Amino acid sequence: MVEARQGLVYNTVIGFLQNPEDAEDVTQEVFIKVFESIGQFKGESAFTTWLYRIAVTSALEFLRKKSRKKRSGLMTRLFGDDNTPLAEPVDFVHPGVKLDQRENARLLFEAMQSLPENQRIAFTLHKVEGLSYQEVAAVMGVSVSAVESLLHRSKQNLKKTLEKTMKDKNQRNF
Amino acid sequence: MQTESHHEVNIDLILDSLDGISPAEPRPFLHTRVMARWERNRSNPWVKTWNFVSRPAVYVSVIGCLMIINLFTLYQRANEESDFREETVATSNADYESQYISYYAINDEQP
Repeated sequence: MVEARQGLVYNTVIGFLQNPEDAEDVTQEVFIKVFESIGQFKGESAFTTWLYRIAVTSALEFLRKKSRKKRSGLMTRLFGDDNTPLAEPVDFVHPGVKLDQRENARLLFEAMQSLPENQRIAFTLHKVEGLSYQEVAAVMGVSVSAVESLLHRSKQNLKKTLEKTMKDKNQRNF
Repeated sequence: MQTESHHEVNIDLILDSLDGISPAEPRPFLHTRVMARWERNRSNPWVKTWNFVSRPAVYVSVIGCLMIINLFTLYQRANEESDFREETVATSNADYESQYISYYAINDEQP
């Protein structure tokens, strides 16, 4: 099962975490969770949908833990002597992106980090994992129209973020 | 004006940059690493305990038992209090009756 589904889980997780090492760690965790809870899978949804749910939940849990650590890191830096950098490097490029699209994809992945959680899930599953609206709806447990609305709003928000990024970039160059 | 439309084109290009993306593949032998981690977890008693305790059936039962014990204790205390109150009322009535000498009793009259 691991061999057959490892690509699916890893690709989903890397879309959220934007870091290959963290993505591999979480992918391993996902499979262990699957082994432990396979008895709870009642076949109400497709196995792949169930696997996607575990992968998305695990990736988001990892991000939450990381942001909590970052906050406590800030306190340590304010009150202690820890010199570790707070900001994560945001120059992630998905290995599957075409060569001529690398810079654009880097900007897009950076902007995706600012999306609200639900919009980020819908956008990542649709754009990175290539799931259809129906499949995204099944994974998220919402209706297809809700997914359409989430994707529409995510594009609007990404446009705003990217416009701001471009303006800042132009000002710096000027 | 031209710059704005240029920006819009750029942003649209950025938004479409993931079209035709191929899936990322993990490093080789992920399966072996997963199995090693699974074995490690299985042999760790803390992980075993945590896995058992974190099962919904287990923690819901524990919370249910605690709630039943709490309710039972509250019910018992409420009963004890009402028994005590009744006992106190009975004792004070008896005390009052033994201490109280009516005017009629002193003068040996009928009310």
